Amino acid sequence: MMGEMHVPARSRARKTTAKTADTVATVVLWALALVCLAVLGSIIGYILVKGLAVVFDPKFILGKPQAINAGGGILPFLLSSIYLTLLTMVIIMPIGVGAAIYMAEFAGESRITRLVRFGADSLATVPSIVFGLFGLALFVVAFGMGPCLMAGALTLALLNLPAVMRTSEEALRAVPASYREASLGLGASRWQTIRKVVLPSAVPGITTGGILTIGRILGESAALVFTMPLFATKAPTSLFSGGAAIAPNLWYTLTEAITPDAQRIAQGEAAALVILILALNLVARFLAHRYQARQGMVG
Amino acid sequence: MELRRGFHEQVDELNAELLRMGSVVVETIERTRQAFVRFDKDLCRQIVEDDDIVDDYRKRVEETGFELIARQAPVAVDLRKLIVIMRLAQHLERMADLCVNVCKSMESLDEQRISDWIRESINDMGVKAVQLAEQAITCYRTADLAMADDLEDQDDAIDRVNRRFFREFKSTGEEDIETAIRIVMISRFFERIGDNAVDVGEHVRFMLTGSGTL
Amino acid sequence: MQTDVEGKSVAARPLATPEPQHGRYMISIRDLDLFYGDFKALEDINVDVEHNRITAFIGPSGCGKSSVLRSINRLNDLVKGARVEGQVFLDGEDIYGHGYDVVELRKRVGMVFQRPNPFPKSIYDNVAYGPRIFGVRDRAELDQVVEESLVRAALWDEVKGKLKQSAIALSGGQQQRLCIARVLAVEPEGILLDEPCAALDPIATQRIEDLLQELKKTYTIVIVTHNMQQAARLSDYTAFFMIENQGDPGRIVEFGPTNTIFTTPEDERTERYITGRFG
Repeated sequence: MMGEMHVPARSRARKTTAKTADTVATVVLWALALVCLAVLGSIIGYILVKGLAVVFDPKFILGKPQAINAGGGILPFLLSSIYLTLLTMVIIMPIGVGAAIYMAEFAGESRITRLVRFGADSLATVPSIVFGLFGLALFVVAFGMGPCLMAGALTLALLNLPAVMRTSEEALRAVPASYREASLGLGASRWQTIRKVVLPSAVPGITTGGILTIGRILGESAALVFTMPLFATKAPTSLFSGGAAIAPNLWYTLTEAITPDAQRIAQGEAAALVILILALNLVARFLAHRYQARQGMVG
Repeated sequence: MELRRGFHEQVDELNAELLRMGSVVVETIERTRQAFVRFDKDLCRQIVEDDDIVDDYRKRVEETGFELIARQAPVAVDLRKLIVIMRLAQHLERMADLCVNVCKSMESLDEQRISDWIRESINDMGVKAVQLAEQAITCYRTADLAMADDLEDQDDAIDRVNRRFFREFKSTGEEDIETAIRIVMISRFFERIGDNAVDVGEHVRFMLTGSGTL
Repeated sequence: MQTDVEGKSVAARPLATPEPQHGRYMISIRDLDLFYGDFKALEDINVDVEHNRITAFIGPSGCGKSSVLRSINRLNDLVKGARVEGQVFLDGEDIYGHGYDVVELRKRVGMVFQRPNPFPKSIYDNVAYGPRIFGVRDRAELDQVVEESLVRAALWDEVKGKLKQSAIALSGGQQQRLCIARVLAVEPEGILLDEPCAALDPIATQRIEDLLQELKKTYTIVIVTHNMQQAARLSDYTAFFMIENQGDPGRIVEFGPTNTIFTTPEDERTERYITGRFG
């Protein structure tokens, strides 16, 4: 007979078992992925279903907050959050990336760098409320800033610095050694190599870290409870003026506010926050992508 | 886009070297014919001396071929060509050696004892040998398979003259035995030149088709 | 009796001559030992690299060929714990001597690596990288350098219409020629190549080899290769490296004209290696 290969029965059985195991594993993994997606989807879905109607009310999104009466808006909160995010990023990125460059390119492996890295990793796990208390003691009280935009931004900077530094460091380390060798081999100095080859190549990784940080800043409330006002009717007009960010205000609205429509406002704020984070994410990604395309980083 | 340009240039150079060697050898055969016909012993000595030139050619061609095979790992037509070039250098050198043999055999010959028909017959063989050698080189140079195959037929003419000497010497007995032996040898040398030319043709056939005798 | 590449016979070159001959040789390595920490990776390396010739380093993996190459433009300096003893002369000057300008050295002796490593930048920016490092800002001048370098690297015709495109989009062989162009753009005298064809297919490999044959008219070339046939085809001189026993430093077993190495090697170990009887 042609084409019939003689396969021993036992081997055939083993083959079948392996095939079954393969199918089972695939199904299980698919199911797990679906569970994750479902949880995520239902949370976002719930927030949007409850909040979208509120968000699309111009009086809400562009209105002035009300302390006592119903019908307050959230525009100052939105603006505060955006200012806060920008200010924090302006403080954090140069320091974080600078420290990362030192760690990745100059420090080498020593007891001290290991200590720094361990410290940074530990700090990243400290609860944010502790940073809030620290910010209260240092910026608000000791520096006499009072609860304000700058005090909040500095506190958030401290909170996120370790993560920014570590993700940037990893991004820099992920740049192939061959790029450095090529550059140095051409006679470039170390600093030229970092500035012209290593750093540009690490930009996508650093950006990803930055986007995550933006999300954390926008969503942070505990660290801001003591360092910024929880409620304000106006957006900050200077670095040291007050202003309330959305996330802490959301917490405030649900727990402390006495406006009759607190529930509705909270739902609207939640949806607005999600949308804002999504929007900033998209903008950051778009800019990163355009940068990569301009640099010729992608084929 | 041609790859391995450097290697192909080297093969071309080697080819040119072999062709130069070929024309030297053809000239040597022609000079040998003249030396016999004119019974010019000075020319004979010159031919013997000049053989070093041909030997050097062979050495150069073979060394270069050897080196190219070792370093360039030639394949297919490149390989066949290199091997055949080295073989041809050998055959050409042997043809020149046969001319030297003719010249050396003439040394102890007495011109008086060489009759006209001998002189004419050897001259015919010489002319034919030159023609065969030329054809052998031409068929290689122009990659002409028909011309290569034709060499064997052409060679018959020389063989016929060579056989005639045996018959003639047996029947006449006019010449003394030593002269007869020497003439037979010289005739035989020319005949061998023709055989070498035929061998060249066979190698050319192999180079062109990849079949036949290498 | 050995002969050099022109067929002129020269006296067999001793592996260690006390005084390097200047003029004929661009690079002379003298009694070089290389350490990585406590590990002695190379011992007693002596090589003379002739101007406008291709010198190949062959030998089994891990025998230190690349380390020698990298010590010629001091890329080993970047490896922590790497230490060099002995001398490497570039046109008579010891590059490990006190106060030697490493940047100048690397400009004079460029390096091409095993895996094509173009920067994640445009083709143009890759080639212009070196000149820009050395302060060339003029657009017209940069344009000219880029074009000339790409032409010399036999890549111009393939990329002239898309200089602004990413170098990452090129094929492996094109990327490697781009890396060569990038080195040529800083106008070096010597080019070091560390297994430049290891990641390439045979056709791309052949194109690189043809290119190197062309480039040696202008540049002095040292190439490390795993591919013995490549050394045989390409080089004028060959150094055969070997490690006697596990843990020993790499040494040069035989160094001489490639003809000799591949037709009648003097050392039995060379013969066994190139004929595939070990290694």
